[in-house]
Amino acid sequence: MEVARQNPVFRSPVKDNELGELVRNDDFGNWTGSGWTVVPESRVLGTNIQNDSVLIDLGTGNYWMNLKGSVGTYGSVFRYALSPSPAMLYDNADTRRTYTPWEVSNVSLLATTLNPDVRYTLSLETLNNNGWDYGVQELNDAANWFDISSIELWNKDTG
Amino acid sequence: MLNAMWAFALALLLAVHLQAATIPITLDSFSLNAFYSPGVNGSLVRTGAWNASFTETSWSTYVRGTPGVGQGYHYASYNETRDPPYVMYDFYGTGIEFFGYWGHLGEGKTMGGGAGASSLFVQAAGYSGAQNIRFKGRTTARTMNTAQPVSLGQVKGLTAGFYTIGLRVTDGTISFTHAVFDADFG
Repeated sequence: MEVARQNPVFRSPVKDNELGELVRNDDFGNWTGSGWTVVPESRVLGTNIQNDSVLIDLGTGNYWMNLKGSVGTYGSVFRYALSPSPAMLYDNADTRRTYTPWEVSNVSLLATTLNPDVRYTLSLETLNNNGWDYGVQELNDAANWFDISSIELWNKDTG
Repeated sequence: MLNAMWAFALALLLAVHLQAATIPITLDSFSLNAFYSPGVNGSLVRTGAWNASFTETSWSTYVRGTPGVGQGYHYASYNETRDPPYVMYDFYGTGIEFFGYWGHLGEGKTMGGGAGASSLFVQAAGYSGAQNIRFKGRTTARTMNTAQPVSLGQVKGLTAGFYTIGLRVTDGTISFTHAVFDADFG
């Protein structure tokens, strides 16, 4: 297969509207839930509401995908599911925890090779709470942030 | 005849330029594709857990919500009373190389240096190749801006397939910054 990584496609969950305001990009995916919020200073879309989700149509022709977002002390657990199951991903559906002691942006949350002949959908759902008991309920409640900064796709028809 | 020859030569050039089935892909130590065992827990680093650190943000002045600044890395120390800590990745490809520093990278203007040793393990259906592939090294304490990540161990030249490959800390301390794996795209 011809591989053309030199022109990766980046999709952003936020966009500028006609007034120059940063808003949610509804072309990115099908968003569900009341918590999705634009964070202008980091150009991400995030939520701290349990079970908020997004369903993303990745299209066809892609052979590499890299979902990026923030990790940090307020990070939550999220569930992902790639359908159909790619042969090159060990677990097509699993949970991951975005907690780390430092605030770090634009980190790879899920990266995998794909079959370019297959049209994939990626669903993401925040499960809230990072599972760590701080011993203080207020802190436990705050540890439920999940955000997306971009999806990077390498497509065989690009470049 | 001449036009046909030019067309054939051009087709060959294009074919050679575009076709590349394997590409190196970098995933850093904060990528959620990295699996750590024991889990990341700074307070237990001396007993075998991993610690997530940055070279320009000190644990001595840590406050929740501090952004990581500088070189990000995860470090762990070997403890003979416990199973060796390890970090591993799943990928489809032909090999992987782990990068970082032998010893504790530390923070501030000087890196601590030190010695370390690693052992790589390979999990894959039908794999019968080498296991417990060993590497070791030592870093001299030096100013941070002259330090560069080095190879901590690699497994290369595998038959393209799905692999889980991990790096164990088998002596001293290892500061892991990123892995580069050779992704195969068919």
